[in-house]
Amino acid sequence: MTITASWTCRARAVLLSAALATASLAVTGHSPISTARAADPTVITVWSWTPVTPTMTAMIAAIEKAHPDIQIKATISPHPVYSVSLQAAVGSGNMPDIIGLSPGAETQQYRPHLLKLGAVAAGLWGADWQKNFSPALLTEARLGNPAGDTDFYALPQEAQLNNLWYNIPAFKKAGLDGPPKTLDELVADAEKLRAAGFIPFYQGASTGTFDVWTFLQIALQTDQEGVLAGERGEPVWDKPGMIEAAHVWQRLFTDHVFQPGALSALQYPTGANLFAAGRVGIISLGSWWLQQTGLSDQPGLKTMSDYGIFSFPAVRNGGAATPPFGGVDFGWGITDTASKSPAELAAAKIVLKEFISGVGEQEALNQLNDLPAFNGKTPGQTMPPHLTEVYDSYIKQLASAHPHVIGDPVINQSLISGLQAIGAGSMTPEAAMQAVQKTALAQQKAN
Amino acid sequence: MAAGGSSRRANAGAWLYVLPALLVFGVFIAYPIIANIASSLVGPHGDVGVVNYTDAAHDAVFWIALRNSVLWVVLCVLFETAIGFVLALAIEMYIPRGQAIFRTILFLPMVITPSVIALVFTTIYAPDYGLLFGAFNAVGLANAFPAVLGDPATATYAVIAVNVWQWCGFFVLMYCVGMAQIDRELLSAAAIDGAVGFARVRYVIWPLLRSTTISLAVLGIIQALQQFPLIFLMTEGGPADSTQTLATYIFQTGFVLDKMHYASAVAVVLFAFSLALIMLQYRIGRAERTAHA
Repeated sequence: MTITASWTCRARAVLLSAALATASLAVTGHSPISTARAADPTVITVWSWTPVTPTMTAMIAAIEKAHPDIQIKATISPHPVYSVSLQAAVGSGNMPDIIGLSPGAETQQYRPHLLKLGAVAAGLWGADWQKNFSPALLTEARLGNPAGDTDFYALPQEAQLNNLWYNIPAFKKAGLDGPPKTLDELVADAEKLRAAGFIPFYQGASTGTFDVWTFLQIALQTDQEGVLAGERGEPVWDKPGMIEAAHVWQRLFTDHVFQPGALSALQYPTGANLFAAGRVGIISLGSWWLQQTGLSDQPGLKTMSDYGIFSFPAVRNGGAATPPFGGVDFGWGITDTASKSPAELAAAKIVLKEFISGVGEQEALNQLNDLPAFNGKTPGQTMPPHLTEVYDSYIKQLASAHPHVIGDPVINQSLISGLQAIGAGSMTPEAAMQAVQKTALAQQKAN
Repeated sequence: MAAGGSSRRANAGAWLYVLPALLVFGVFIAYPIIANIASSLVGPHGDVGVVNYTDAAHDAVFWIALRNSVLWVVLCVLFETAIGFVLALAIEMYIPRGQAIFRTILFLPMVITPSVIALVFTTIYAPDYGLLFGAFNAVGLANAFPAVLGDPATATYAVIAVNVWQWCGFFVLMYCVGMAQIDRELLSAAAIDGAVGFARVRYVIWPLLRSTTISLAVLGIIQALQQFPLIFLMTEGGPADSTQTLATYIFQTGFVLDKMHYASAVAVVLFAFSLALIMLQYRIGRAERTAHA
């Protein structure tokens, strides 16, 4: 045995270096984004989880250049960190001036601290300002408002459409001409893709949001009215159309359309990375995938020439594929912190306008961050033909999109649990949807 | 009188020294606990009572979370202690040179952030493209590969295994430090008395490391109960809530479902559970010390 007294010192050194390494990792990443400014500008604080920091930095630079009297201090954090920070800020009365918001539950959660934006929007874009946004976006922006309250507490900067993407070279290698048009074709194509060495349909089913989105795309075919009612919080989850959709969802697991172990898989970063690497045939993503054109030097991805979009195939004989499905990607709300001084409020309104329809959104759009919520905005750069085709298709679909958000987070979580239980085989589609229905009824009673 | 006044002055002086610590304890420990308990007694409509606790009693996910928290404590403490002790013993007793290298390698996982560990192990566990799957595939057992994170029956164990892997190095290190403090002469005397091999470990080394084991068990319990990032990043509490623990359920109910008072009630249960375990641990330790005195 060769234990020596100096070991204690060495152990201390190891522990110290471990602590320093941990501390250095812990402090990275959350300092506010800001650029150098002239003396005494009006400072507007912005917190969000999106867009990504490089995009936000470009947006801020453009806005501050256009408005030298305004300085924006933005903090972008991962969503869980953002959520906790925001709740703490509410508790301590230190909310930033502008906050990033998802439609529905998140907007409603902070509604007591948000300014009504209907009149603000009329002041910024004119009395008929609503014509600048597609109906799905306006519906989602007000999702969860108390009965009779038709005002807006957040306005969308960017919109998104949810759909399926496919890898064109993978399909060709598997001997497939194009995306499947029916559920049976999807099952058959999955088998061919697998035989050709690809993950047929990657579903990161441990990421609940994508489970709900994929399920709602199916349910839009089997009970469109039910989906819209369910999103509003109505107890419709045990209707025949919903159960039919749950059976289709189950089939995606049992017929091995989804990859094995889908319930343990993450949509981000794993699924998106595998899809970008050409390992996946089909994946459920959306319009935001266009961001990849600016993030990769791989020609097939940079121009999107290797990738195509399609709607979830028809699940009923003679039926149609899923209609356009999407809504608000993210929006902005002005908090009551901004209204503490007229100058700050005026500056916050200017920043809001620039985020949504001005130079800020133009910067985001130039990076194809997602689709513009404000009608008529277009990317500044010339895009390759295939990319233009995909982008234009999205813009066209946005006008008639069906909302994609379940307003009540408790029902949403119940649906995630139910869908995962179906996938795991621990619940039948009927039992899972009954459980969601029970939750929806309880929520209806509680509210 | 003069003596009494002097005593009071001395007491006042003592309180003055203690005051900063008391203030920190009051503001950062006592007040949040009391505020959390008060918050847990507020119902969803602002009514005061125990409705959050009765709701929890009827909430299936709460019971899954509680059961998993117990599993985390038992399995983590058990395996981390057992593996940590055995590895420390092997390093200190049977590896003649390069012990520092082994200790450093085993401690390395402790300095990796949970987000990186979660990503790496999610990929290792992944069917179809994962590292383990590749090994199964290489020996023709691809079809037998279990999707451990995707199966509600195994997912919690799979995440616990990752935690055990990460924390074992710390246990090894602490046991190595403990072994370094054992008097060499005592070991020599024990050897003369016939305590060699397993008997030396069972009757000499293990009892002498009792205080280290108790400290590690307390640390292990605290760490297992507060584990959040690994679970959240690897499974988000799924599939179908099967990997929820009290810690993740507090986050889900408070920050995802916006039921902060309910989350406070779950936090009070976690607090009571932790307190009970730590008190039990100390009571066992004290009883053992008394028995050996």
